[in-house]
Amino acid sequence: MTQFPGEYAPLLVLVLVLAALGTLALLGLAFAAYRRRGTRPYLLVVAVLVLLVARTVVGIGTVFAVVPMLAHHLVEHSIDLLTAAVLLYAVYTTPLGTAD
Amino acid sequence: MADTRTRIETSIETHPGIHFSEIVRRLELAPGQVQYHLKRLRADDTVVAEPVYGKTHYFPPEYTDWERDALALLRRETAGGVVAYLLANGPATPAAVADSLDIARSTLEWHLDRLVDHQLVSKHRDQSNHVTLTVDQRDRTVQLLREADPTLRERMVDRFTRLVDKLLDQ
Repeated sequence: MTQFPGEYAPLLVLVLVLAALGTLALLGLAFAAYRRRGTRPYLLVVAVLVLLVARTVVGIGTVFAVVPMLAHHLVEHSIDLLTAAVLLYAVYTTPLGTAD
Repeated sequence: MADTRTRIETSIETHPGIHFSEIVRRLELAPGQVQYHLKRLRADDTVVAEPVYGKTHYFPPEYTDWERDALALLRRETAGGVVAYLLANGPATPAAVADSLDIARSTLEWHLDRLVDHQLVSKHRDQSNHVTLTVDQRDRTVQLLREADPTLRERMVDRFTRLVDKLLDQ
């Protein structure tokens, strides 16, 4: 935990734990919804939330010195790029609903 | 051991349509223990198991096939809401139901497919092909709707799909 000023470390760990719980709960919901519907938009929602969980995992990895700071930034911002790409793809491929 | 079995039986009687993991959670028992007792209860026809859309629900034996399917469906908040609206307001068009419940048409249609499949709701078309929705077995459906209480998880998954459908439908 050398990269962080000491007094912020417990706060950071707390935030990471809460983020992990929150994103995992959301991912669970998204996965249940995908199993129910089985459509591509729901699969993309699962993909985005997997990326969100991955961010927290990398964050926890850095706090416990498993992921070095340099790799941390590269991975985190690559995940942002991927998230944007998945969402843009989802938006672009959402067809106009057919009214009946 | 008979005591545990009675608790499982009571839990199924008070929550008809309960599923396996919920019995384990509510009674704080080991899954293997619940599995063992359910097997015995099913063998002497004290409870009936019914797989509905990928999940096994458990019922007391007095429920008919139609009632078991209906109850499993009504435990979903949106499906229950659609049926409750039709019971309260009488026959209505899909557009009126979707508007009133503030759900996307895709959400409504997904639930209607299942409600129609299981003869809870029927679609009537007039000469100009306009659809009207009605509840088939009014009295029994009202009763079942009262017994159906969705778990927190079911409620959350239901609300999550409504939200995503709405976002995608705009």
